[in-house]
Amino acid sequence: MPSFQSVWPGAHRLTGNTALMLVLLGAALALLQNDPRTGQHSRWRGWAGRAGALLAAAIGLVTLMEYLFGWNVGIDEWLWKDSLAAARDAIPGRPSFPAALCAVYLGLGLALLDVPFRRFWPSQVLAVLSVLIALLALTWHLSDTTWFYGEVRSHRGTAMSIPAVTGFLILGVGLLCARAERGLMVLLRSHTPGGILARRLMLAPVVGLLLTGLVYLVLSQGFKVDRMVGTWAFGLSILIFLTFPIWAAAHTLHEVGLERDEAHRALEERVKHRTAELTQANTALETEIAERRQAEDALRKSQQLLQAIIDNSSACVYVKDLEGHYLLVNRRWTQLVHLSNEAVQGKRAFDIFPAEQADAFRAFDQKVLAAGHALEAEELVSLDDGLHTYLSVKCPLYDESGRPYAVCGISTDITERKLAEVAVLEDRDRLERQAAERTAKLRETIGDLEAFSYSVAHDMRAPLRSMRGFAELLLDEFADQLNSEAHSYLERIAGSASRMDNLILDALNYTHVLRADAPLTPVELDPLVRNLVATYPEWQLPEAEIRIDGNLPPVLGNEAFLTQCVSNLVGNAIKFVTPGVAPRVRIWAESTETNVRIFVEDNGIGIASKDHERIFGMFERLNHVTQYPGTGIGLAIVHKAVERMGGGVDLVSEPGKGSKFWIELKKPPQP
Amino acid sequence: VTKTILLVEDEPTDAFFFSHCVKKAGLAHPVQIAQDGREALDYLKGSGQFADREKYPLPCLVILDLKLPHTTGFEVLEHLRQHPKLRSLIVVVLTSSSSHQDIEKAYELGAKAYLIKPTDSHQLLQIVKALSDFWLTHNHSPPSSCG
Repeated sequence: MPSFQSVWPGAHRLTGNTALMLVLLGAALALLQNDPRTGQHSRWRGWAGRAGALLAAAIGLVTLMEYLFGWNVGIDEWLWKDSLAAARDAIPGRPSFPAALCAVYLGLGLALLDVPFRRFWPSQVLAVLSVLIALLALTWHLSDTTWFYGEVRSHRGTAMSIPAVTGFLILGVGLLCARAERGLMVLLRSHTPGGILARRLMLAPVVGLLLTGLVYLVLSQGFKVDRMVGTWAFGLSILIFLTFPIWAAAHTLHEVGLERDEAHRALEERVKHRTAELTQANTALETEIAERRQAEDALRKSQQLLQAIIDNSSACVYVKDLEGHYLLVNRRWTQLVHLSNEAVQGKRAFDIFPAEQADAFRAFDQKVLAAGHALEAEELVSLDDGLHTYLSVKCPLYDESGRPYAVCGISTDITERKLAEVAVLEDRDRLERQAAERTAKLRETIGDLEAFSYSVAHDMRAPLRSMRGFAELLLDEFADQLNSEAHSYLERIAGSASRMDNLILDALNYTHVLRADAPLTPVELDPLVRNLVATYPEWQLPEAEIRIDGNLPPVLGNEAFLTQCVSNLVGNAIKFVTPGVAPRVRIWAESTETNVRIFVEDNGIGIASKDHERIFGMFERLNHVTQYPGTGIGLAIVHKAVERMGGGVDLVSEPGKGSKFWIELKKPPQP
Repeated sequence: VTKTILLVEDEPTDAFFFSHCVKKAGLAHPVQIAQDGREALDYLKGSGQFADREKYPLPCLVILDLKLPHTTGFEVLEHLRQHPKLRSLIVVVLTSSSSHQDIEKAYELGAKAYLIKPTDSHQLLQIVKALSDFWLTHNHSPPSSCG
C-alpha cells in the first residue's frame, strides 16, 4: 500500500478520496463506453456511469469548497487515516486541490459525455483541461518546483501524488478517446495532413519533453549534475525533439503538396479529357437531334402522304387501338359520321354507332386480333340515308417487338352491289323455279310420248306382221297360181314389212338404251361374250369363224348394255363382208392400269375414214339396203350404251382392209 | 287325244295366222279364241255364253296376249291365280312386247312361258309346233284343269 500511494518515500501520497474518485471515474468511463458493434451503450449503463461520474465530481467539488472556504466537512478521512499528513504539512486525507479540480472536470465531462453545446462537445474541453492540470502536476513533480501551482496558493502539502497524476492523465485521455469519432480526436485519428501533423507535433514533442524532463530529473537528483549543464542539455534536447518532428512534418507536408499538385494536374487532365468527351458527346447529341428532326420530318411527310392517300380513297380507312379507340381515320370516314378527325381521337365505335353495330365491329376486331392475319367480312352500318352494307378487310398491326397494338380496317360500301346480288338471286330463284316447272312439264310430256311411242310401235307391228304374214302365205300356198312378177311383188311386200319391223325394234332398243336404268356393276366379260357368240346359229362354222383370243377380263359395266354392244359389233362384223367371203372375226382384250379395251376385228369391206364419225349417228347407213340390210341404228345404240357405261368406242378401218372396232371400259374396283 | 287351246288375242290377223299354223302343222287340237281378257275369263269360268262345257271345254293350254282391250293379259293372270280351280292352268304369254318388266311381271303372275310374236310366219309355225310338242304332247298337265 505505501508503495502504491507514493512512488518514492517522502513524495506525496494518494489519499483515500482521490483513489475513490479515480475508481468512480474509471468505472464511469468503463460503463459509458459504447458497444463497438452497435455504437451505443445500454440505458442502465448510461445512468450508472453518469451517477458515478457525478458522485466523483461532487466529492471533488466539496473538497474544492473546503479549500476555498476553509471548511472541514469531515469527509477527508472516510476511508483510512492519513497518518503521514503531518509529515508533509498537509490536511490529513484531503485530496490535493488540482486532484479535486481534475475530478470535478472529469466527472462533469463524463456526465456530459454525449451532450453537445453549440458546435463543440463540453466533455472534451473538460477532458483537455483535466489533462493539462495533470500534466502541470507531473511537470511539478518532475522539476520539483513546488511554486508552480496549487501547493503555494491553496495549502501547503496538497500537491497531486504521482499515482493521481497518472490516473487523471489516463482518465483524461480515456475520456477523449471514449468518443474518438467526434470532436478533437477526429483530427488526431484522421489521415489528412492535418491529422498527421497533429499526431506528430503533439505526440513527439510531448513524449520527448517528458522524457527529457525525466532524464533531467534523474541527472539533477541522482548525479548532482551542474544545474547549468542540465539546463543546456534540456534546451538542446528540446531543440532536437522539436526539430525532428517539425522536419518530418514539413517533409510530409512537402510530399502531400507534391501529391496534391500531381493530383491537381491529374484532375486538370481529367477535366480536360472529360471536357473533350463532353464536347464530343454534345456534338453527337446535336447530330442525333438533327437526325431525329430529319426523321421526324420524314415521318411527318410520310404521315401526310399516308393521310393524303387514305383521304382520297372512296373506302373508309381507320385504325383502332386494342381497346377500340380510333387512332386514325380518313376523310371519307369523317364525312360519313360527321365528325372531324380531331373529334374522333380517343372515341370508340360505341360512342358513334348504335350499340348493336358497335358490338359487331368489336367482335370482328377481336376475331382479327385472335387470327393474327387479315380477315374479310360484311358489316352493317347505319348512316344518314339508312342501313349500308360494307365489305370490311381488317388486319392487326404489330409493333417492333411483334405485339399487336392496333387494328387497321378498310371498309367499302357494297350496298348497291348487295342489292343487285339480291335481285340476281331473286331472278335466279325465279328462273330456277320456272326451269323446274318446265322440266317437270317436259318430263311429263316425254313420259306421255314414251308411252305413246311404245304403244304406237307395238300397234304398228301388228299390221306389219299381217302384211308379211299374208304375203308369205300367198307365196307359200298359192305359188302355182302366181307368175314370176306377182311373186316378186309379194316378196317385196314381205321384205318391206320385215325391214319396217326391224326398224321399229331397233328404235325401241335405242330408246331403251337412252332411258333405261343402267346400274354399273362388275361384269364377267369372258363368259358373256362366249355364251353370246354360241347363241347365234349363223355365227358358227362353216358360215363364219369367230375366234376369242385369251381370257377377256372383267369390266365395270351393265350386262344388258354389254350384250347389246357385243352382239351389234359382232353382227356387223359378220354382215359386212364382200359377197362370197366367209366372215372371220377375232375378239380380244387389252388392259391398262385402269381400263380394258375390247377389240372386234373383221375381214369385212372396211369403212372409209371420212365416214368414221358418221357411222355412230342415228339411221346412218353407208351401203344400200338391198346389199346389206339393216336399220342404221346398231352402232348408234353401241355408242350410246358405251357412253352410258362411262366408256368410249372407236375404230380403225380402211375400205377393203377390214375394220377393227373397240370399246373401252373401266376395270371393276379391286375388292 | 285332242286338247283344246284357248287363244286370247284381240288382233284377228294374228288369231288367223295362229290358227293357220296349227292347221298347217297338222295338229288336231281345236283352237278356241277369246277376243279380250274379259271374254277369256268368262270362257275359263264357264259363265255366260261359255256355260256349255261340251262346246267350250276347259283348255289344256292358254295362249295369252298381254295388250288386250277391257281386261289386260296381266289382269287375266291375276284373276286366274286367285281362282281355286284355275290357278294350275298352263298359260303361255305370246305378245309383241319384249320389255323386261313385262317378262318379269308375267312370270311373277304365274305364266309358264313367255314368247314374242315373230314377224316371220315360218317362225310362228315353228313356235306353234314347239308349243304343241312340249305342252300338249310331252308335258303332263295337272289333271284338275286339263280335262
